[in-house]
Amino acid sequence: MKFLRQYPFVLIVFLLMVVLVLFRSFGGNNFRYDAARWAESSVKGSNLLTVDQLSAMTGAVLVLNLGDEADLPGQLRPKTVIMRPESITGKENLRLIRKHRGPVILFSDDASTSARVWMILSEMGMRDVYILRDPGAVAE
Amino acid sequence: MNIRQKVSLLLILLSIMLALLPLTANRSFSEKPSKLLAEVLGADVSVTVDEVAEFIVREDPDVRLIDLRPADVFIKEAIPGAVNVPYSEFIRSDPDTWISNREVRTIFYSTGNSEADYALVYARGMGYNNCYIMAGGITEWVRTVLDTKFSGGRITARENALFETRRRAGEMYTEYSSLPDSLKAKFLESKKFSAKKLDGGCE
Repeated sequence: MKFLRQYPFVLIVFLLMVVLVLFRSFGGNNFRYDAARWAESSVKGSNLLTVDQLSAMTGAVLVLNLGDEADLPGQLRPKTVIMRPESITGKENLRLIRKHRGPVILFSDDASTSARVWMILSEMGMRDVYILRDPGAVAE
Repeated sequence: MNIRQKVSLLLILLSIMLALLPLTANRSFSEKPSKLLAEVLGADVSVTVDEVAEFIVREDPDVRLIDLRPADVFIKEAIPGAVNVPYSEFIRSDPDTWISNREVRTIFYSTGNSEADYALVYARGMGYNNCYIMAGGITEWVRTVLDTKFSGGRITARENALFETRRRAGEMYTEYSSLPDSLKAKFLESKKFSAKKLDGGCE
């Protein structure tokens, strides 16, 4: 470090680059490096949850209801939040998701909406986000 | 220390930093999350099966279909002219391999919607704004195009044109799907070969 301190120009440029890389990697409102890695669970299907798996979950579960009217039956909503899909990247919503310690479940009548929102959240570095598979079965 | 040495030192430090970044760091989303979200939730990223049927009947060169289903499913039946890129392969390889040509519209489809939806966001996130999905996937294709029936006494010219397009697309689909696997493979190979020849131009 003493060596570097003798050359402030080099040190400043290097630190600036490090800060930019760290911001890009860990900044809360951006996408992370290596898109393929964050999308991998969609290849394996491990991002999908069945109603039974959700029912069996213990601990804090945050269920995001992305539909307008769709709703989960009482036993399946330990903590349900209705969120409009287009507002999910809003500051407040992102803070709510990030602050939550435990799985976040996306629930929508339209499977496309859940899948698209999942990919975006996942690429933003959120690992513990799942899609509730076949939500139609829940409503029955 | 002269300027050359300073620059050398800086380059060495930056190289170390670069070495610590993942190799696939270049394959990252470049759009802003909110912008991408608004884009992919919009209706204009989907095309209907009727539109796809029309592209096929017209043999539209400006449209490319990408079938994201596994190869063994694709070989049994697929939309004529579609290229099979299983979803896992699409994600694990460089998307540029499949969708680099931005002059053409790329339409993803899978069995239902999910994999096509993932692929759509993945591609658009990386800036491939020429990507769309066929809404409903093959399930919707079969329901709308293959199972189309004329019913009722009167039919408008518009309905007739739609029915005719569906019928012709359905016939092409059935004919293509009934080809032996070897011929399908040859058909696909011939398409690839033609593309290469066209890339080369006239001699």
